[in-house]
Amino acid sequence: MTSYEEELIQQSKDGDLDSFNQLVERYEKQVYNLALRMLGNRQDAEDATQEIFILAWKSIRSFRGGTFRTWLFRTAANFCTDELRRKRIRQVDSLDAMFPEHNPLPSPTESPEDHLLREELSGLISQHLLCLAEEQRLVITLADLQGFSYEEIALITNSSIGTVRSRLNRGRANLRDLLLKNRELLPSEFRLYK
Amino acid sequence: MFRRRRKSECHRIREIFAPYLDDRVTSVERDAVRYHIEICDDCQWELRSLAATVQLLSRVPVVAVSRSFTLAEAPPRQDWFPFAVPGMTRLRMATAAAVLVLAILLAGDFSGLLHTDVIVAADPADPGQQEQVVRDVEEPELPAEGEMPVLAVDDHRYEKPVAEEPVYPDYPSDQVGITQWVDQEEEIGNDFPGFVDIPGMVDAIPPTRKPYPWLLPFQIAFAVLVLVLGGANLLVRQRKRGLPQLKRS
Repeated sequence: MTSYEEELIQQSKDGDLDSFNQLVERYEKQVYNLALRMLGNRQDAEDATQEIFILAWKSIRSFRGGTFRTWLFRTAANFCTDELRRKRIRQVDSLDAMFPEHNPLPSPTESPEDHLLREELSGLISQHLLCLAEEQRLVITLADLQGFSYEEIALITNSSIGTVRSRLNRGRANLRDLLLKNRELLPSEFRLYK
Repeated sequence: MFRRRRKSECHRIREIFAPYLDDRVTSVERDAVRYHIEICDDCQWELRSLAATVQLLSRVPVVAVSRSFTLAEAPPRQDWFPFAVPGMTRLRMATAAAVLVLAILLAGDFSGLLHTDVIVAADPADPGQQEQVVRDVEEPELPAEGEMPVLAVDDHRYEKPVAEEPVYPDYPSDQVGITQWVDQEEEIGNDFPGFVDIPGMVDAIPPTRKPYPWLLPFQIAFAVLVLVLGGANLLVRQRKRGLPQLKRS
């Protein structure tokens, strides 16, 4: 955490919304992606992201040192878990859940075909991620998609490093099994045969 | 026996595949994994497939946000209350209103404005009318000029002593000063010929003033309301101390 970020946090604690908004701009993409992977559709992810930042603003004074990113993602993870619980009660499913996101414009370095393949692959992985248990999905999203360390994930999920390792192992194995069921959709180098 | 031993060894090694792939193992654990996958094809395939899965996951793009999630301060709300005071929330307004009503009720009680006349009924034989609220007592008809006013005579309670008719002057004179004249009038009391007796009220106990029966419950209710609203105000103030209100986009 940089000293500038510490300054922003302190000013936010003093009620400066502009400083907090700078923190929001720093982390909104990561928080949105976590919410998207956890909840499975764009609209829910957007609503969740907004609520997470409002929650963070309201409880910024309870942040007492440590890493702000870890603290923010703990709030986000807890909110997503609660939201999934509420969703399970409401039993709301949408078509969006099957196709979580689309990045409409290909990057200049890749051909349209590659872009399409990448999109398909991304959709496939996202779809299978939603089939995993919540705690495995959370750990895989944080470790493999967001690049958090084991220690950070342990803090975010409020569990031990051993538990993180175990969940990550099982989650990856389960995801692999799901992906192998649609082997033909994978790139050739990933079509593993036993 | 060897197969069972190998199975438990495979299980132990597979447990550390995730940290091995993330380079989060000790050198001893790393060597153990490398040695094991050389002799165990199943674990080798397991490790390769997991490595491929991690690689696939790394290809998943980060999704761009379609809008900003920055927070905005909520504009001051248009209060439904027509006499809204700037800077006062609805809760504060409600508290102020409750305090005002309570103050009016208490002031009315202490000053007697919210009291009514109560007399005891003349006839104790009628228990249903032990208390009677007297309101809007009609003015008695005054006797015509020249007629002698008739004094009410209680015919069944007690013998009313017949007072000697006092001699009194009609107005202060040279012989009777204003002070003596007023004293005389006080002595005369109700026997003053101008006094008109109201039938049925001769033996009544003079009316006493009591608060309206609804006053006390109202006072209690508003006192409780003031306490509750005051407590809520304190709680809200503590919670929102210093943080501006937000607007949801």
